[in-house]
Amino acid sequence: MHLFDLMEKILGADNGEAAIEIPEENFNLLMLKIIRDKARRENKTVRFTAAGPRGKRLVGSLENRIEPAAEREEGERAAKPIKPRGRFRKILVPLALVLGILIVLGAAAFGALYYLPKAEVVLTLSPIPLIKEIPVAVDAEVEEVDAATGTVPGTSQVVEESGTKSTPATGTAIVGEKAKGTITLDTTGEQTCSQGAKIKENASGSVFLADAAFTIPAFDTYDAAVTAEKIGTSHNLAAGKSFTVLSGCSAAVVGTNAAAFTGGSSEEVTVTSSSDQSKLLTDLQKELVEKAKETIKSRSGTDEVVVDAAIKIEVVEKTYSHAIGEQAESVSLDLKVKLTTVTYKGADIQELISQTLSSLIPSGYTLFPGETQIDPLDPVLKGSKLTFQAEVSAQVIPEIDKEKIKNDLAGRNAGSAQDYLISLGEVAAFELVLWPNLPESLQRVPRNTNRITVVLKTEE
Amino acid sequence: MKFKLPSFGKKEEFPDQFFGLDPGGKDLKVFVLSRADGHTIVLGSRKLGRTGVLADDGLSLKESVDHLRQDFPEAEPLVVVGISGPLSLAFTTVVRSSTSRDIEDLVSHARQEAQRSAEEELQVSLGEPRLKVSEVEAEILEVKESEKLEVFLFTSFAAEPYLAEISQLVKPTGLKLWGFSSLLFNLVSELSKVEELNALILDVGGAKTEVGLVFGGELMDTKSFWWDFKENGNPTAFLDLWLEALSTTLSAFEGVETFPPKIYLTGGAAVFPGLIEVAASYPWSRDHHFEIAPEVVPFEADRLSTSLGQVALRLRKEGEEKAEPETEEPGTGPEFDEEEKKP
Repeated sequence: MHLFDLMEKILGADNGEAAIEIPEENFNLLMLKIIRDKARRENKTVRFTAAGPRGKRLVGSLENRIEPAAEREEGERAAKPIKPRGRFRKILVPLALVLGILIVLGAAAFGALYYLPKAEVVLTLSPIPLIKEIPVAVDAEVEEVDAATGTVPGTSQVVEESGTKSTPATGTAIVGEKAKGTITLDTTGEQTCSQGAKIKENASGSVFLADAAFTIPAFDTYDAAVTAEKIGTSHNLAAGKSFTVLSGCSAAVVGTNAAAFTGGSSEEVTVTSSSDQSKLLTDLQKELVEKAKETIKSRSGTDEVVVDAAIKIEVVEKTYSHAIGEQAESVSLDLKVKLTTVTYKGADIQELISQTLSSLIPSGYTLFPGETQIDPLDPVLKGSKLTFQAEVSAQVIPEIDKEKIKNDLAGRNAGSAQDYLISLGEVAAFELVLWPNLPESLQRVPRNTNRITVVLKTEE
Repeated sequence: MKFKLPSFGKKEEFPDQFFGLDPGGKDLKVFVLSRADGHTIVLGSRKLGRTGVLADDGLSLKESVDHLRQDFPEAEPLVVVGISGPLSLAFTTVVRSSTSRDIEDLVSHARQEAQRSAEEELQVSLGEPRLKVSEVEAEILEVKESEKLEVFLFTSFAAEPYLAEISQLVKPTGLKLWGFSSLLFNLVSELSKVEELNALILDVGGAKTEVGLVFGGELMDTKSFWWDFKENGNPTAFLDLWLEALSTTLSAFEGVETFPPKIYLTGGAAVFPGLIEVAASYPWSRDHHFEIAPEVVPFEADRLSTSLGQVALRLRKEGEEKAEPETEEPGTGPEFDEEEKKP
């Protein structure tokens, strides 16, 4: 039967108990565990039966009754013991039962006393602050930490990331249509006017341009088609206005419009601005750098250190959806960047610092683990090498032999344990927590040193 | 420093064009692979459904192989067979010793221990206390020498009846069975060329699912169970239960503090409708410790099978190293390779 069907059987068990028969073929111990876990998740009991010897053995293995092949046959033979008979059996059985119970109770009491109690000792130490700047060279060409030259092994990382981001456009522009109309021009002598001749309406100052070149015969009029120089409704002039030619005709010409000018319009619209584009580029670049850092960490492990200021960013592709000044509600950017840097393992730099600082640590003291802060200052990336000044802020604490303290404390009562901890000269303060929380006269530090935890911390 | 075992034990030069076989539970996939410039490419392939009768499958396979041999007459009639699933095991063992110990002795001891441990694990896992297990391949991935000597040894094993069955399958084709190789190991080798791989690889086959745990580009361990991917009236429940089975499988990996942040999906049934979506949205971090919610990345359907080409690349490299003894580091023996230092 398929594993899916067996798991479904558990789901369908109405009375909270499912009987599962283990098939002989295509079945393994992991599948048995999968079924057991499913039953646990569903709060149901599962009763395994086996279709054959393999299934029996798998169920046995699940219940931690694994028997090696060589011993199995003996085991099977031993499964049929000779039973004691008669009166002897009547005495032997109760006696064995009582003895068994006593042994079990004794073992349980011993186990409880030995394994259950636990103690946590928190020792507060007075640290000596240590601040130093160390020149560090991270080199992708080397493989080992070298304290003499301040070199740690690095990894050249080249990551290409691409992404898209959009932002609402924030620029504005006025767009619209130009007004059109006809001006009747009047002159005494023949006049020639070029296309684009400028004609001004006298009262408003609106300027119009001739749509085409034309000639006005002497002592005659000419209806010239014109278009406003600029967009907007202000050029939609009423009929009967007076015009004067500013330029483009051979002599001064005047005119009027018999009909109103129409078609002029204007409106404010949103367009892409240069700041929209530069903001998009900055923000997306920042996101891609973060993405690249995650890529590096997933590739090299979470201990890999990436120095932000030492990432060289090269834009490979950059495409905006709209050019600057183009009408758009939003603008987007497709960006592909190539990031180059050299990274290093946190553990390697810790090792370099431990080695470098070791000569500065007084005898009887040690570097407090976990409290070392390293800031890479002025990083410079050149080829496969990254150099910087590592500003190291560390704490130095008295050397504490945790194992000795555990051994010395084991089995002491609460008072004696406290006296011992007070006697430790290098400890500024201590805290002793004993479990179970019995009255003080009954409290003891466990004899089993594995049940004692010693935690070091430094003063705030 | 990398040390190559004579893992495939073959002295003759490996050909440039050869056959690869992925004997899945539901389908047999056979490929003609070609090696050139440090890569392998697929020249041709055939996929055929299994009938469940070994002799019939062998004859169908023969027909497919005959077609491929007609299409690619230059391909050597030599086949490398990929192994995977509950009848096999693949894992990396880290062996530590004092630096004075001879590496070959250490490796020999480690291989024996790996064999013993694999045999015991498969015997218990399959409920077959007399099951015999064969070493399929062994390769030293890395040797670190500082205060202690550390050897990272990859080994794969398979139940002997399983290997015998595949040999029977190949027999009618007329191809020479060159050897077996762990499919997941080959995929990891291929992927590790472009990134230092930290990932879970799910090989979702038609009849079984295998999970490979990869740290630092090394296949640390595999776990498998049988699961038939077939049309189901309730696909949501079907995939939910499969995911629960996977979750228990992750729990079976011992000593893993944090699972890697990527899950690669491969195998013929990875394209089962809805599977990629449910795997991507499954709350993996609920029952297991992941630093971040893992990214689920599907591979193209034949990626796992065609990664068998890596066998040829490894062998060619091995051959080249043996052909240039003057470049070897003095005192490290003829099989050391300084050029393959891990980055």
